[in-house]
Amino acid sequence: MSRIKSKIHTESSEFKSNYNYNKGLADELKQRQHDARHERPQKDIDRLAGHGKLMPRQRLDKLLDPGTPFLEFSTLAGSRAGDAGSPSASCITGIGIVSGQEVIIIGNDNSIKGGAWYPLTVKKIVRALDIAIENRLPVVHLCDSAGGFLPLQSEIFPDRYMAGRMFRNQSTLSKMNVKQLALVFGHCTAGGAYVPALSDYSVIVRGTGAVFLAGPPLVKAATGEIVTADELGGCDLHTQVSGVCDYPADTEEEAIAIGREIVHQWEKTTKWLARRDTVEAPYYDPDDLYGILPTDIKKSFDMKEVIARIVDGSRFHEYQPVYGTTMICGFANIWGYKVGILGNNGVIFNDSALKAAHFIELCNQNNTPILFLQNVTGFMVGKEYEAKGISKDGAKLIQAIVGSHVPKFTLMCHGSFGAGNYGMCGRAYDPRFIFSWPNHQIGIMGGEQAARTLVDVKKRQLERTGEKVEQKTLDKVYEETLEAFKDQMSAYYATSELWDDGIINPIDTRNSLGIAISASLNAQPGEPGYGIFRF
Amino acid sequence: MFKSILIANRGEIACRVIRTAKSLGIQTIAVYHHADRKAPHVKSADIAIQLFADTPTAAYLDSKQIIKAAQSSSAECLHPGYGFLSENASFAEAVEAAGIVFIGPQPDVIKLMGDKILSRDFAEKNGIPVAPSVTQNGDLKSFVKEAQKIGFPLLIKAAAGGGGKGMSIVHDVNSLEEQAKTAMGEAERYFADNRIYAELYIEKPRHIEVQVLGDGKGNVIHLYERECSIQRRFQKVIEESPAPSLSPQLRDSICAAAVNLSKKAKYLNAGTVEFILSPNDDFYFLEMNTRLQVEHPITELVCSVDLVEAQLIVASKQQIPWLQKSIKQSGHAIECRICCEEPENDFRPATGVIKVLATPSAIDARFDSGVEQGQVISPAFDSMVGKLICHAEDRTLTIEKITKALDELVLLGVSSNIDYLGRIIRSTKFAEGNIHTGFLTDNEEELKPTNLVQDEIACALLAASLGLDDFRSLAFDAPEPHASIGEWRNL
Amino acid sequence: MSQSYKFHLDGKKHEVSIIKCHPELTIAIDGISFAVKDFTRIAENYFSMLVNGQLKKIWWAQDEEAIYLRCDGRTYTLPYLDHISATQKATTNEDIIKATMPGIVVSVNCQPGSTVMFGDVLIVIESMKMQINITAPRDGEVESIHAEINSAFEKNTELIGLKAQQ
Repeated sequence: MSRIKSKIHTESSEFKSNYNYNKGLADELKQRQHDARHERPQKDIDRLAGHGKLMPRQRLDKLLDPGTPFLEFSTLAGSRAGDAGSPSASCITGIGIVSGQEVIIIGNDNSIKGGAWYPLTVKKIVRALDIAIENRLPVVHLCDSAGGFLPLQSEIFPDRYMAGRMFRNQSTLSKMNVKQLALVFGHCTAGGAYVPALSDYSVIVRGTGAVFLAGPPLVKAATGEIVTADELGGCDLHTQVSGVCDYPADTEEEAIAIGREIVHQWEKTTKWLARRDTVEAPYYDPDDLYGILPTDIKKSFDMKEVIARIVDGSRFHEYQPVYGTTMICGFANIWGYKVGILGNNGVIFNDSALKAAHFIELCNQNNTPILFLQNVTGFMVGKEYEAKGISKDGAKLIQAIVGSHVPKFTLMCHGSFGAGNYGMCGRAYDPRFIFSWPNHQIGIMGGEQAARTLVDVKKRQLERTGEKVEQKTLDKVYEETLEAFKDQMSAYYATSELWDDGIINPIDTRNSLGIAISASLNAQPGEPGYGIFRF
Repeated sequence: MFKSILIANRGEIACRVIRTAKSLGIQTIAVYHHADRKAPHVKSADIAIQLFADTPTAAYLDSKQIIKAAQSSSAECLHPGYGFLSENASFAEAVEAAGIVFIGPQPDVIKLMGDKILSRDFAEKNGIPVAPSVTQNGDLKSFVKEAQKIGFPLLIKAAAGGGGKGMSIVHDVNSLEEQAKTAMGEAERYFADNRIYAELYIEKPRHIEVQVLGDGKGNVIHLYERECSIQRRFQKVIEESPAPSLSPQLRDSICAAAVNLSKKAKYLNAGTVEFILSPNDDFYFLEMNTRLQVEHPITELVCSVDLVEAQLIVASKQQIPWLQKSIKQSGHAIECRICCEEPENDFRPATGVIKVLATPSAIDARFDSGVEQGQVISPAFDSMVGKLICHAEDRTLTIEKITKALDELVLLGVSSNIDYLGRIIRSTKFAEGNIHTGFLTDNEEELKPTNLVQDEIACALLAASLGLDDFRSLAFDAPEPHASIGEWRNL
Repeated sequence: MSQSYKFHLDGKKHEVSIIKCHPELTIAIDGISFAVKDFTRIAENYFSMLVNGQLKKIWWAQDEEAIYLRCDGRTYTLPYLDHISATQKATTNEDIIKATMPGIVVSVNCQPGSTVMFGDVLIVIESMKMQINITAPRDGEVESIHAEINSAFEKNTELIGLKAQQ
């Protein structure tokens, strides 16, 4: 495979101004993620220390194998939800290596309101369990939660994909023979009690761990019985009498050591794809990405330059290099795994859509996982293209994506608007993992475009009712629309709502994708087959 | 030659005797206490007979049972080894009375030499130099008065004693009476005989002993001397032969004295005459051991003989296998006694299971032991588990050889003195050859282990970790691509 | 940091942790890094490795309490308890021997003051038509006996007390 020839001049002023801007965004991301992960009120840190408990991230560090990576999902979930949100949605999820096994880790963060579940906590945990199901990854639960955050119960409890879905997913994993281990460090109250109860193995810490459907206050209110947390559902009761938990541990460290020993004896899955080529670092420096990405959502860049800084040796085998040139298709390796890559270099035309659909079929035919690199405002509009059948061409692309049986991965590199998001395997199309970059924006259409459209609508409305068309009114509509859109289109808003699995620093893309691809190979691919392609 | 032999002992010496007996085609019979049922001496013998007693030691001291075992197995002879019943005259008598040949001297010679006072008097009477001494004859006060006359320091010993027990050094007149009383009490406790005597204590003495072999009819040869000055609390730690920087004349005098004494006693079979050599080259009779000694291998290597075989020949044929003139010293040999003990904790005996025992393979060394890998070292028995012996053309080369051999000797699972022995052998003072029985005490500070340096600590910790299966798993079996990505987080 | 391995050497505590496995194994001893290469098993209990370029040959053994090494002519004993034993050892109460199920006493094989060894049968009980030996959980001295022949007891009844170890 030949190397992509980069045309970027790292000395140019454009490169330099891009670099400063995007590096700034990356630094901002780092700071925000650091705060979401580590900034806690001193009184909460003291409270945990006073109970002899470790901080959640200390538990994580001790659990993981040394010298191995941890890919954390949705660090900034809940960060833009105001009072309905909490740092990192009060939980930690990600993929790590424990005793040589790839596992999904789901840990409550007891340093935030006792680890209580907010609506986004539930959504983040359900998402992590969905990842476990889709990729057949064993799960380790680090339990320490006060249960549902009662004031927001209507957004936590009743609906299909709310808290009940967590337990449904756990049971599904069990039915699939995918193992789960629960380490009970603190309280598992009410619904939370099902986490260890539905896990195949559970370890509970004496003194601080407890599992009960109702805690002491609720029990007193319900029946008048007065009982301590330990008497009601502590370690000795559950490991010696009730059988709800399996292993007692005297300290958190011991619980983690027992947990690691349990995972050590789990059978390892054979990966679905055995082939793995020699790994080669990208020829071009991933640091260049800061200079390649523009400073404005409207400006574009050459997606091939991005590919050159992600794939092994910057080597790329391009498919249909001179047809449908606004869609880049080709094969490359990431950490030795062969992938098929689709990337946008402009609006999607008829030929780009057809090329993409065909390429997706080739990937499925060859059992090659697919990576979508998004930078798209949408499909081409206009009379000419409608006549050529752009609607059905877009439909064929969607049929190809949905019919794929190989794992799909999506990276939203810049703009992701309207049908373009759908045509490039957005969230709704079940990529195994979907990540974004800090400069990313997502919306039904661009902000300015939306504002102009609504101004136009307002103008015609005023004209119809015969009112005076004041420029001030129109300007106000424009500004307000722009403001609202800008907020809700930002990568931070999207990630806060869990519309993706996390914002990634562009230079971390290669490692993130390598871990993601490796994780996805634990599940057999689905059955091949597509719906009807409207020719 | 005998057709069958019972070895009334255990451990290293039992294995040693069995080895030679087997090479001569003699059927070997071992005895053992339940605690020793898996021991090498039991496994290597042709027949093994169990002894029953409350304690393991009591079993090997059970004269009646042992003789019964010899009779029931039709043993023609019995080798007592060293320690246990080897210097017990009544036992020797009983063995002979049962019609079994006792591999050792006559019972009355055992009795004579077993009594330190009687043997001393015998030596003096026969012109063997002895150190000025006083015997305690019931009256403690007169003993104290007489003892003072000899001068200080004095060495108080038990008449019926041996092996360093009941011995103490008195430095001044003020503690003499009290130490004498203590010594009498100890003598009573250990040997059921409270007689003591006091001898002038020679400062910086050298312990020189001579191996002799007699035919019981007045013919005795010597197989030269051994130096056993490296001692700790009267226990020998390192022995060598020939004695360093001993003039040929002095050697001849000492050996002649030993032969003279043995001839006068009409000594039968193997024995060792022990002397104290003063810094002035005066030598004094110490005692005679009427048995094979622990350190006999160094004589074997230097004189190219098999002493156990010699014992069997003498016992069966009443004839010494060699003429004196055909015994020559060639080269130099050093023996280190390997003990399960903690040198850093006042040499307290150590117990446990020998997890790893590896003997030097690259170096030409002799390792006589009665233990093997997996053996339980219990507090029931003596802490010595083996002897490492090397021989070379001269003392310097022998020191080189045994240094390497000690490095290659591996005993893991129970504390041992192997490192301590290495420090002694490596010390410049030992290489210089200025040794005396106070050597280890005088050089106590220099012989302490050097503090561990950073590199040694690191190496030990790395080795400890990588020996663990789960640690190795983490180090070598991490999955890919994660191991290559390394400890990365998406920050 | 992932759980480090803790050893005692020469009376001091040390921590060993793996920094990275690839491409070269790097291990930190109390925070200082060492590169380890070419780990090879020579024989059982015997291996060699290159530490910062130097060849080391090591004999290794382990029992319940420590790891033993011989390296460069020196013998080392490193008290070591793996992560799980370390905490469990500290808290198991072996002084009180309780009945694990209801039953009656068939025979008592010791008395207050008896010296017992780990595994010695102290009491024989019968329960559900089966005789069960209650054995000593450690070496020690019997302090108290709360069982008589033919007496009945419930589950968790204290049967024997051992003298607390110093």
